Amino acid sequence: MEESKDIAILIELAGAAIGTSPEGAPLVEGVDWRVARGDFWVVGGLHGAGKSALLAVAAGWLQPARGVCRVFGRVTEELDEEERIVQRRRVGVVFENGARPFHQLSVLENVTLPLCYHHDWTHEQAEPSARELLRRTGLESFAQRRAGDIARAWQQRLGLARALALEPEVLLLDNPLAGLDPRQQEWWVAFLKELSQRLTLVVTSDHLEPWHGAGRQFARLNEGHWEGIEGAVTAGLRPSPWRGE
Amino acid sequence: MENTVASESSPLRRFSQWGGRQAFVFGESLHSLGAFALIGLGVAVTKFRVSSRVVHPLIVREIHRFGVQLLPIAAFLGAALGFLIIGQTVSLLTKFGAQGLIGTVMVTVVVRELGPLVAALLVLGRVGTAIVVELGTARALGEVEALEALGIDPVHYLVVPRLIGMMVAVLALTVYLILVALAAGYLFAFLQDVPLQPADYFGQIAGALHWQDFVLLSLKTATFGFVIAVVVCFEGLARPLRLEDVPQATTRAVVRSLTACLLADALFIVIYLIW
Repeated sequence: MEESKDIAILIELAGAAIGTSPEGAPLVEGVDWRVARGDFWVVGGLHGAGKSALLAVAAGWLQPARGVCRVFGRVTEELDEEERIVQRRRVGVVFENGARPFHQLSVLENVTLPLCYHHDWTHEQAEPSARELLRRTGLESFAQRRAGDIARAWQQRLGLARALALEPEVLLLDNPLAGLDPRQQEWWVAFLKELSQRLTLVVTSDHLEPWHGAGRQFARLNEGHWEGIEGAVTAGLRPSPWRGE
Repeated sequence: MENTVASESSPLRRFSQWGGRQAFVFGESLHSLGAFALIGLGVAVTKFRVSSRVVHPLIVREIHRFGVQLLPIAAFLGAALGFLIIGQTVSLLTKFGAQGLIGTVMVTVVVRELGPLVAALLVLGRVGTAIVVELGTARALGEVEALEALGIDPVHYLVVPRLIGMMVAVLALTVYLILVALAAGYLFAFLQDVPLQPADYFGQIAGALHWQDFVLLSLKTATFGFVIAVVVCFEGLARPLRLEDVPQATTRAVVRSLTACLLADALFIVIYLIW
């Protein structure tokens, strides 16, 4: 795995069919997608269009029903358990709807846990890095609160801080703006825009408009098909993913 | 044709179909539990030194939670067990002039049978159910997927501490419960004016104990702890759960743990008889 650190294409899907509809058919077919180092992808799609399934495949947790998925140049299906764990440390994920924090742990412990587990550090050794992440995400004052007790919007930020703790090479965010008020949404877009200067990002979203000026590559999942949106940045305006509804 | 329809719906046929289904479900559950147990054991052995600064404190915490925190109730149950057995047997043995067998009775009933079983049931009732709720809720809230996303093995982080903690706790609680029951037994015999000196009573107990008792007691209690931990962790973790499924999983875990403990107990009785 080490020799693949310098590759330019981090995630590649070729002819992939993704997800399963209630009828048993794939949710999205024919996905040809390459995420290069330094990209900031924004993928739009209606609820149930297959955005979460796309990220699960890109993270290497799910296998495409057809086609191939390569992460850091390796076909995900061929990885053994040890390689899978190494890969997961290199791909950060922020889940949607509150980001699934560890409810029984404190906010600080949520961030120190991956550091302690992977580096075999004590809590005290991991605390400075974790506190720095909490400061950057505006969670410093919640450090000692139980993660289950803080509001969902803060839990979402906690998911971001936790995912950044292991310094991943690519960060996948599943619909991070869902259910947030406009001020929180602004914070997320600004934070991710700044973060994209040094980290490869993939964001899925119900709406593409808020990402205008932040994202650099755009695509949408439309009626079971993957559609890249060419020239979205230079055009200045992004088509709504459900234009023509 | 009519005969075929009649035989298909006959009570005997329906019963045999039901029996077949139950046997299939039982076999499938046993297979899944066995696989889960092997995975848990494998991870406990191969990853014992991995992330020790996270996992080892969790093992200590679980031993405290499953063992130390249950000491008062274990002491109460031990005392009640001692009083109960001596209360029931002493008058009977006195009638036959067989007070010399009090120690043997205590060893047979408390050390070999009831002590381990009561300790296991206590742990199952007090913390086994709590584990199913904890793990089931974590699973339902997506925390298990979050662990996997961070490259943290959920079996290593969630199951191994509970597995080792439960095995150690049931063993330690059993020893404690037995000691209290033996002491309480003598106290009750003394209160009933049984002419038995402490040295004679404990001498009888020492005489009735063999080295096999210590080996089998350790194996039996560790097995009970292992079985309970495997079943409750399996019910909480191994299947996708919704929050409303958690109470049902808890009930299922209690029934299955109880059944598994009784089956293991029966197996140890056979071993006692053979040995």
